[in-house]
Amino acid sequence: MRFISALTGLLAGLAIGLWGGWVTWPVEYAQVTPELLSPESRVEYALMVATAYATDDNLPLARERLARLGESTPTAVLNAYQAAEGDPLALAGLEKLAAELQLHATMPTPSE
Amino acid sequence: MRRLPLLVIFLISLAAGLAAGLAFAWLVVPVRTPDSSPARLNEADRSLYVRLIAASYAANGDSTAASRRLAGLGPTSESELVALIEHDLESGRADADSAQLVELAVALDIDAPIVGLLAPPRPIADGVDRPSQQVDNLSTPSSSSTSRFRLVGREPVCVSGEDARHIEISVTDSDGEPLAGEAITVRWESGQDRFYTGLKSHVDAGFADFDMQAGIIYAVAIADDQPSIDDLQTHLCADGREGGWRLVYEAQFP
Repeated sequence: MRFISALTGLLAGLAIGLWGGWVTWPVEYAQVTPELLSPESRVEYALMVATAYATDDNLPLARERLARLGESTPTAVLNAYQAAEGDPLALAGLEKLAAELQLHATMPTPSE
Repeated sequence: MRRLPLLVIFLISLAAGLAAGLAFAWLVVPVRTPDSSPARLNEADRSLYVRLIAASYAANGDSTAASRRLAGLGPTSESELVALIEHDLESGRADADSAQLVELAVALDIDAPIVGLLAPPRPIADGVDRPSQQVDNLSTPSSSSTSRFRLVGREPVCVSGEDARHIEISVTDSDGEPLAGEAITVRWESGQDRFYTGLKSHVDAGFADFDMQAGIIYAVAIADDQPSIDDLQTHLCADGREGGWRLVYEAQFP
């Protein structure tokens, strides 16, 4: 009986601890890279890269900037298309970027 | 030895499990959800982000979006923008990036001495209606008496054994003293760049330079003047390398 009580308490505590640490009070990172920005912020980031690229035509610089988004680059660029509606400059930059980086072939479904 | 009640055993075990669970979730396998705001970026990426905001503003002129994006970096964002401008100035960096930072700081009306120094001069209202200058029309070089600056020197630049594809520009006041913070616009068929003198103060406070590309013809204008020259392109030096140009401008009025 004592063993069952101890085991029950331990398992319940463990479950609450894991839930708390992963869901309710997850670790909040400081000093993150753009890769860990929220999806909205990554789209904003991709929009800025595309807008700048539309006018400066500096592909190496655009590549370097987008690389900071890591594996989420294609998703961010694709979602930026929707966010850039009505912004011809950003759309032009996104078109050029997608073509230069050959993102069309690898683009995942929009949104996270 | 006295036995502990079951409830106490349960509570002690619960506390131990809770501590172990939290330790595991926070320290061993912390969840890495990508939900951070730009305010949490590390120092290097914050600088990159500020430069990106400036580059985007230089491209679309949307100061509302630029202001919102800069605010997203937190309460220290404006001082970080100023610090970046100062850093570029101290390190002699005078490229398009630096000019864009100044342009952004001016657009957002950031109150800092360095911004005031590098900001292009505001036109002085004289109460007389006059047609605005057609800055877009760069086809006709101008050295009219209404220009603030006149071109007093133009000479080819060659560097032995290497290409020197750049335009070196020196701007002085009417007494020949170097002038920092003067805007220079270089245009070519498919684009333009705007930058400022004084960002390479180790050379000369009135100095700025621009990298040329072979086969492209450039026009140069100082401040809000019409372009004084519109036929600059790289030339062939005696050793077969490509050379650039050195231009000297002097203010026409004190």
